[in-house]
Amino acid sequence: MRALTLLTLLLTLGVSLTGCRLAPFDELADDAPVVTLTPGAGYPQGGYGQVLIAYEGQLDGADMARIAVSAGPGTPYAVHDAWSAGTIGDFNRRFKGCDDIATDMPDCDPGAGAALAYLPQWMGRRDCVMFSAVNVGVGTSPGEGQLRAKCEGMPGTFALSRVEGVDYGMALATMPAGSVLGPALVGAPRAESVGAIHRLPPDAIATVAIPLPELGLAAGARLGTRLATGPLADATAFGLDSDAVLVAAAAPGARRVVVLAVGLFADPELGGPAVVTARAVACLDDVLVRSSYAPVADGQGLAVGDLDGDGVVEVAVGVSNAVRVLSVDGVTLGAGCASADTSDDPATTTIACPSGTDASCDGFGAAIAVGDADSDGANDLLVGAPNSVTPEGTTGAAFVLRGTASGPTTDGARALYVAGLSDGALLGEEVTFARTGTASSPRYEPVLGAPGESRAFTFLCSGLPGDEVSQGGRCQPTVP
Amino acid sequence: MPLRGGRLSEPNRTEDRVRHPHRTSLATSFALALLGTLALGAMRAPSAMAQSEREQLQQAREAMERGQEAYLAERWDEAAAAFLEAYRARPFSAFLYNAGIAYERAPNVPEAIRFYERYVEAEPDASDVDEVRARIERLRATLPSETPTGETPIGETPTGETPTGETPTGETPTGETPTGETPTTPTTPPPPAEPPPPMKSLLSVETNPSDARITVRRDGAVVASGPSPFAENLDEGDYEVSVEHPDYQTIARPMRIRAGKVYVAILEMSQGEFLGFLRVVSDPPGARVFLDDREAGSVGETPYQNPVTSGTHRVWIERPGYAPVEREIEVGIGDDVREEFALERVTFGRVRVVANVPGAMVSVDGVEVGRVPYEGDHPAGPHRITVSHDGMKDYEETIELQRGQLTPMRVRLRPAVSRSGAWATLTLGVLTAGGGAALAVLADRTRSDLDRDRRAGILSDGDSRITRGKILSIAADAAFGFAGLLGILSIYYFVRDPLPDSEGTTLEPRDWTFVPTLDLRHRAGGAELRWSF
Repeated sequence: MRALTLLTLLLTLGVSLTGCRLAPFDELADDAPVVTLTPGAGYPQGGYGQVLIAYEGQLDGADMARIAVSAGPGTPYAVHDAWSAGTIGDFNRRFKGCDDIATDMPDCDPGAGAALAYLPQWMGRRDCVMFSAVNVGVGTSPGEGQLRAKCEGMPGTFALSRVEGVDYGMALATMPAGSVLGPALVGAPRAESVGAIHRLPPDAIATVAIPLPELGLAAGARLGTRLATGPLADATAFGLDSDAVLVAAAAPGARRVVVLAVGLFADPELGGPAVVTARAVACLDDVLVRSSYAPVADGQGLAVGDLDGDGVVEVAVGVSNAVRVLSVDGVTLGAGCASADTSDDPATTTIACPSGTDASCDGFGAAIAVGDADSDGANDLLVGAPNSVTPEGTTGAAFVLRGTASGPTTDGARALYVAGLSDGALLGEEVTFARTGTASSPRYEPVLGAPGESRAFTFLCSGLPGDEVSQGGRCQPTVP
Repeated sequence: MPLRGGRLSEPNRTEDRVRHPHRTSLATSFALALLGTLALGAMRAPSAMAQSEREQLQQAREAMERGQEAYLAERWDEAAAAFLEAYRARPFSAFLYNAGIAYERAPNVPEAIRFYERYVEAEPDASDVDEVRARIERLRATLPSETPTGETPIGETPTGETPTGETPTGETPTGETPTGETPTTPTTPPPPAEPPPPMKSLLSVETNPSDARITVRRDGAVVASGPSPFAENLDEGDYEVSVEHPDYQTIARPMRIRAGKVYVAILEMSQGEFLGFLRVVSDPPGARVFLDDREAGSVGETPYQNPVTSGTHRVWIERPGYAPVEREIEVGIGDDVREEFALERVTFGRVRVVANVPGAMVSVDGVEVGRVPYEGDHPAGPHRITVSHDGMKDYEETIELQRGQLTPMRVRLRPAVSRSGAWATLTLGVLTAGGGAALAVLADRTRSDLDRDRRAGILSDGDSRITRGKILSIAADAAFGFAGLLGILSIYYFVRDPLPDSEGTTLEPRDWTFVPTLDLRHRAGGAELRWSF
């Protein structure tokens, strides 16, 4: 009995000591300014974070923000909670987009996870994600693409369009909320020799191709390899009647990014109702946007957003260690599309990799996202550099460029990277902004994919002035 | 025939005249003990006299006494038998003579004649031999016819027994004991008209030294003379006895010899008139006495007394446990000097430690002083005695050392519990604690790194170092806990002691004694300490 009492005392003392010593680490974990997104146990392969989107919608009538992540073609995606019903999420995996990818009756087809897109409003829901399964050069039906959608509040997935032989679904893009054109775009790079872009009409399950104007693309341009969209407030400026959407589509086969204005237009000469019409806004040549056709070493990022706060979105395209920003405001329609080189490209602003940070610029521009990271009302530019050398090694990084009225500036820019990553983490290969905070006071947190580590990271502090790491370690309320 | 001298009285005795406590002068320079037979047992026995001889002399004296008493009571045969018993004890011819007188008064003329004749045979040169022969003739003349005296062996009771051969009357009185009765011998003539002579006495002189010459004079004439030991039949009368020795003072003393007595004189001769007498006493007694020559060894122990030459003497008094005392003493010629020494104990005590483990270390008041068996002197008073030995439990006790006394200790060391396990446990505990400390340091470093990264904004909640830091912390705490457990176990092992303690016994302090050892050949000396438990 005496020995048992002694042992109990010792165990109590040990547990107390252990608890005391573990608490600081728990506090560190709770206060860590970077939140890790992991695929969870049983994820079929590495590369998690290769495809990364963030979206905000509603679930059961409450605002929510989510981060959907996959490892690219052939992998399921997982949805992480960033915001739910007015409270910041725990960023843990909330659900997987398809759990039975390997079963005989799968929710996910082979190649699933190649691309992701949020469906802002579909079938009366605002919590659905569309994902594509594309057999890119593999499988029994090469080039077959299958679209599915999964809504968070519903079990199972919805099978959408399926197209064979055109790499259908290689790229997906979310349309601006409330667009009459539909909730999302779908790229089919090998369709119609130069590629095609489909749209998912509202509440439809089948996509329709958007008629493209003459873009001067040769066969094999693979237009639609990557897509980015942004709202266009003034449709008439682009020869449209209404509901214009700016679409940036990569054509890696032509090393070109085509900027389109897509909206409704009723041709007075023909009469009849307005139809979906695409106008060539501009073409940027000699750019290679990253995709399954372009390795990460070469491919660059593509994003659309209002970078100068003028209400008109800009197109940001990554080039060699820089970002070219095309302001479509006042651009001559079709500029740069006539020639396959840059001689007739419209004027762009080049944003160089910021100096003075503790990360190198290797791979700068591989991924680009636009969002207000510091809650100052101006969108900031997030640029990934997956080959960047940081104090932690060649882990990759991302740079946050503060948005100003004249566009992003490198002044006060800060490199985002994660301690403890190993070389080849490819942090920043994919980037996005995830919204946190209320609708009246939103915040957008940089989210960086690190497929080399099969993880993604959310930086709760962008490091921009006014958004530095606080004493508590985070710029947001404590993550539950 | 009346006895000359009458009843036996106490013999004269020369006493030492000593004036105490101061010096006295001796009337004589010798110690003379002239003792009567009653004082024989108290006499200092000369070394030359054997114990058996002394006993025989005592037996002869007692038989002589009985014969004297029977004679005075006119129990003639009993008196004669007692005299012959005395003769058997010590064959002095005086006893034969006295037996003859007793038989003559019986009257048993034949026996009287026979023992007179034996006397004459034994003492043919005696001064009264002619007188005795005349008496024999007179007695024979009283016999009616020639009757052989027979040969009655000395040692057999002549009374009541007829000597071998024929009795004068032809009747055999065998079986009749005539003691107390007058034998009815038909041939016995009436008592002679002349009374029998007085009985003879015996003077025995022994001297120290034994080769002195004794001369007995009567009225200036030498009655007897011979070397010591000396024995002579004497008639009643006044004599002068002198004892002479070339190296000693001649002793001459008058003596009155009474009839039928045995006188024994033991003479202690002195070397001369230049000696004094020294008496040395000490408190406590038993101290060794060294006289004049310290290196020559002790001459005795107190109380010591001995004649010494006159003059100044140096005396050393030594007794173990007491401070030695040296003193000069003046002894005058013929002085009897008594010197008293009050001995004081030494200021230190002695401790003796024995143990059951040879080679056990003895410490006194924390200072190692030797190994058992240990014996050493230390100032009197309390001392902390510790006995230790590897693998054994220490024994410690505080004892009170008495001045000049030996305090014996007997220690029984018991095996000590091996502490190797405790040390091993403690060592393992320390190592574990060290490992825990190292782990804690690593954990702290990890935490510091993490905190630094947190402040830098690059720390992720999934950082593997957080988990590693937790593991390190858990490991450190586990190590600390295990080290604590080991520490407690080691303390337990250190304290745990199922074996009995060492024990010891301290005996009562006692005096110690030295036995001096001298090696005159090598002019070396020493002392051996003896004790007993």
